[in-house]
Amino acid sequence: MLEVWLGAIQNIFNPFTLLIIWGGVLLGVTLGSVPGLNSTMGTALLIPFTFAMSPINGLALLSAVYCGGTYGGSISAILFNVPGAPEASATVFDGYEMAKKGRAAQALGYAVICSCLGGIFSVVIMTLISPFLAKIALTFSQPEYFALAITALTLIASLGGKGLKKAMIAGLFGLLMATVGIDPMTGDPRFTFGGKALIGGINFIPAIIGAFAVGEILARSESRIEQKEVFLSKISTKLPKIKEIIKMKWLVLRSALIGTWIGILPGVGATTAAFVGYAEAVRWSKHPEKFGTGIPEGIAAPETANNAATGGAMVPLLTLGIPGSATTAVIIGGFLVHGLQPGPMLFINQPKLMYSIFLAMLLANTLMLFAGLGVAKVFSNFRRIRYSILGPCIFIFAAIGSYGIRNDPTDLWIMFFFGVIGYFMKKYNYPIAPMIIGLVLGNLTEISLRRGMRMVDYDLSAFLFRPIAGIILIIAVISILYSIIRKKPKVLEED
Amino acid sequence: MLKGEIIISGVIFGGSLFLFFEAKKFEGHDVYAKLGPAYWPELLLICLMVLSAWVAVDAFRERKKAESEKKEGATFDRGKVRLLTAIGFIVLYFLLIKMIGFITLTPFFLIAFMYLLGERKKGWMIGISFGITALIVYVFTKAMYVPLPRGTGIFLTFSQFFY
Repeated sequence: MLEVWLGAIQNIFNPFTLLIIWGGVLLGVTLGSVPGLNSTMGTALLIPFTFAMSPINGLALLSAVYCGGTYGGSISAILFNVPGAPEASATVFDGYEMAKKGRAAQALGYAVICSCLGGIFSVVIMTLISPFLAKIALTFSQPEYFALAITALTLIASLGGKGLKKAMIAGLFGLLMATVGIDPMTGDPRFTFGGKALIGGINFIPAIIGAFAVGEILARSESRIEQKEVFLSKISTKLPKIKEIIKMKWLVLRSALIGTWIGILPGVGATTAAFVGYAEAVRWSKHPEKFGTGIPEGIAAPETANNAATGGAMVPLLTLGIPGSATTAVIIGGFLVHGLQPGPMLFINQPKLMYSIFLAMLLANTLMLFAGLGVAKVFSNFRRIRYSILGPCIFIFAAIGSYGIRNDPTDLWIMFFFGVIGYFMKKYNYPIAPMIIGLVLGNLTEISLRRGMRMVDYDLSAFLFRPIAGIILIIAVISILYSIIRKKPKVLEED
Repeated sequence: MLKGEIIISGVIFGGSLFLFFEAKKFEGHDVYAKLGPAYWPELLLICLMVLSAWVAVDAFRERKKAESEKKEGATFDRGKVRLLTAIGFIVLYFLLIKMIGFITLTPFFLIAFMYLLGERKKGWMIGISFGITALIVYVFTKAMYVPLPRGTGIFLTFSQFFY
């Protein structure tokens, strides 16, 4: 074990990797802070760039963007009452109120320090439990993998907001798109329409880039909504004193635990973690009536919880190959471009890589503190870049990024197709993330179902009587029921 | 919007029905197992058809309730033209890039796209378009060794000066 850790330290603590992590955190915080851009889109756009890097550097970059992006959303939530990312929706309640009272610098300080603490806590938990979970996962067979895939698909229900039916349509569409190409069990071509272009299936990286980036560009070209010119003078971040943080130690610890646990569950992500963290903070507070009026606890709870969910969401990804959130679904692409399949076998075959990812995330969460201080200062300038300049530039990066993965023009058309689909989904309120989850999990779900059914002589009920598969399926059912019956806060419904 | 919802649901339903019949063609290939290549897509497509019909019925009911939304759309005409032009630009760019090459075509595409999105500052448009193109050419061809399209004929000769 010591050898693995030393190898990981050697991998991460070299100038180039450190620079990549620092750049990733800065980029993530910046992307997260601008409404309309987020860490999911950022990681999708960056995957092709990681192709030229070593797997460690590439995955360190994506993890850093993920961590930074989750915090970044709080900057515009606090300053403009507009969460830069859905994860920061709960931060608006007290963050903006504090800013209105002239305490924006303090609010930003609480957000960044609690994000760091939440992130670091979850990475430590991730490091402790991932190898253990991976060992259990090695005993899994097809029914267990099918059960896991179904549980992960319950994420669709929680991403649906008020339109569960639409979220399910999006998820089913993603699953359907994953069937395009050669059937892995019989070798039959499916939905290729006699051509060769789709024989290899739909490469999901151009699909992700298209749906998130090109769809957004098309939507903006129709509406041509110009960003409001916001005059901001002297934005800075003022970190809270240590004794102020110690005063909130139980709140931070509770929120970190909630965030990590919710992140681990494949059905829910950072946004839910933030709301649950906030709700629990209100419940445990001696002065619940003060929440929503601009108090530091109202920022500390959601920010700790949403960043804690990032480490949590990486657990199912690294140990089972199942994404715990939309961004981790995209990060799977980062593994695949390097020929790596995330899952328990990676802990056996590439332990140094896995521990390097742990270390990179730990470092990213620490560096976030400095990035948070810096980005808030330049934020006002960045927001002045007009979308008429930014949009076409993003498009070119998206197109070349999609093309560069296989040097195949088909990928450009796949990106374009998913861009148009993404545009219509945005316009008619179909969430995009379920489609991506479906596309990523499609193969696993189908193959594990078909193979598993053959194992149990085509009796689906036999899945329920296998102890692990049965428990996982029951968790999936509970997760779906919870998503349906829970009353969502208004802000969450608008995601 | 509700009319659009119904149309989109109809498109999803129609597309699913078409693909369902397409999936029917995979049946009879179930050599190795009872669950052949058609099983999973057919299951998904049936679910898609049911859900899209459900969404359409919901939208239809809401439309009856909200008669006041009739006026929508009129203000979006210019937006739609802009959207279709953007799609046209993208299709044209993808069709021409193999013939004209990345380095020659991209700056002009970027300028046109920026203009379409409302940018009017010539200096910014030209500077950023050429700057971004140069950056991408450098990063992708020199650092990442991705062979960007070079074009044919005179464009190929021009591209070869750079990569």
